[in-house]
Amino acid sequence: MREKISTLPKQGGPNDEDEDYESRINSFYDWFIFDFHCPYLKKSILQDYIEHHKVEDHVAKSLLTTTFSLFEFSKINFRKKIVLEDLLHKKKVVLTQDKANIGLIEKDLFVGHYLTYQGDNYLLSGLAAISHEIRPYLTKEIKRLQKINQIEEHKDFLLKLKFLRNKMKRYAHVHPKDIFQFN
Amino acid sequence: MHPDIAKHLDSIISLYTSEKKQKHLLAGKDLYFTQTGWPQRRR
Repeated sequence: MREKISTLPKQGGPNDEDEDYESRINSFYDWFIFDFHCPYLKKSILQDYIEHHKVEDHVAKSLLTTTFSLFEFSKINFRKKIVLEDLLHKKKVVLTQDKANIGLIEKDLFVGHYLTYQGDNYLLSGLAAISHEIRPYLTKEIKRLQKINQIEEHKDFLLKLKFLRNKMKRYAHVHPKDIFQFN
Repeated sequence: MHPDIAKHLDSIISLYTSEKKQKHLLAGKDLYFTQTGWPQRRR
């Protein structure tokens, strides 16, 4: 991995001290389990696990329909539940967990996964938070992706968004509008 | 997270990061961190 780091100047290279190291690793694990198409297995890690282990049908169905997207933390509703807006799928998501477990404030954006099990929505732990001030620079690309609604394009956008978020942290002197470019 | 789901997520991480399955993890890391930027543990 160390050798790989030195070969990646185009991606902005490594940071000397990533304060969000643990959240980035959690974010990687979520992507690795649900979205990574493994070249050795020729399927996702999750599909391979389900094929070789005893997983109840309703649990497997829940795991296989996990949603990867860009979300806005909209509000806390009258039942004290967190309400998210899934910006790529134009869908409201009410979480089962309470505010104490999520660590975000209203209007924050984040890239992450959620799944639905027995009618309840659960957010996975790998969240990549993005300031609400960045939203204007994402609007045009979000609208384009909503229209085409292709999962691979969504995944590419979400990974690029994580990269640009990390880049913004390293290049604090550069205006966000010059960083969040999607051409 | 519901315990029915959490137990499988823990199991997947444990199984696919084991020595036997490291090649899957490394291929995933290469793809993911090349696209999102490589992290480095705080000193």
